[in-house]
Amino acid sequence: MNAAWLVRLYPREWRDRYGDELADILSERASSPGLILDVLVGAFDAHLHPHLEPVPATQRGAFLLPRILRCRPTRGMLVGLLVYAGLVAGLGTLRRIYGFNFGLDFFYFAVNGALPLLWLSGSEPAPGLRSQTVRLMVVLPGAVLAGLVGTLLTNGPP
Amino acid sequence: MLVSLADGPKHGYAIMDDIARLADTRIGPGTLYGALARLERLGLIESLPAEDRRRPYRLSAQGADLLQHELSGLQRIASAGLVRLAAQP
Repeated sequence: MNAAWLVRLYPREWRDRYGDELADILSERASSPGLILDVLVGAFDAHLHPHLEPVPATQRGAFLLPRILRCRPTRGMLVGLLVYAGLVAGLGTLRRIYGFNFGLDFFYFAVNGALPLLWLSGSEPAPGLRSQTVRLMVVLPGAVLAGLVGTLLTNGPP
Repeated sequence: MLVSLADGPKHGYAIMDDIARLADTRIGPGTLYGALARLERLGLIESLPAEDRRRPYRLSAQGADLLQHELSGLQRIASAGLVRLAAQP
């Protein structure tokens, strides 16, 4: 079976640039679970790191703000913040109605703490294990701190 | 991948075959194009005009400098390791 259809799983901009070449290789190779998994992981990686897509020549001279808004991580972050604001408003109302609830507080902590981790997953890893380790050492305590501060700010002390 | 391109431009399929010969390991096309995208974005490789549906890639000057630096470092370490092994009683 020809696995070239898997190219459709990649982001559109990525396909515009590399899709023909990848499809050409896939069409010449026998499909196997290993090959399909490799391409699936590649597509997932391309979605996680959309800034790896080549910048089209027409966008290179564009103003900074439209370029930032076109960037998929920025759009994802804006949508995430809207969803987060909805959760805070909704769950805050529930808390005022029903009083202290450990489950809700834990939920606030997890949601607030997840934001730095989302940033980490959406950003391009720096080359080298040492840089990665340093980033994790900064981000993980940052996630815990963001969880605590966010919970206190949005929910008040328990 | 940079070593594979060190002797001249190659397209994706040729890079995969070359890496299989060089490193005795076969990388998948998803892995290959993920790495090509990163290397191109970092300016370490450049693409040439496509031939049919295949686009050859070549080392950029920056990529060649980096490869030279990395290989020299590896060579120093390998030489030191071999000398120390030979000096063992």
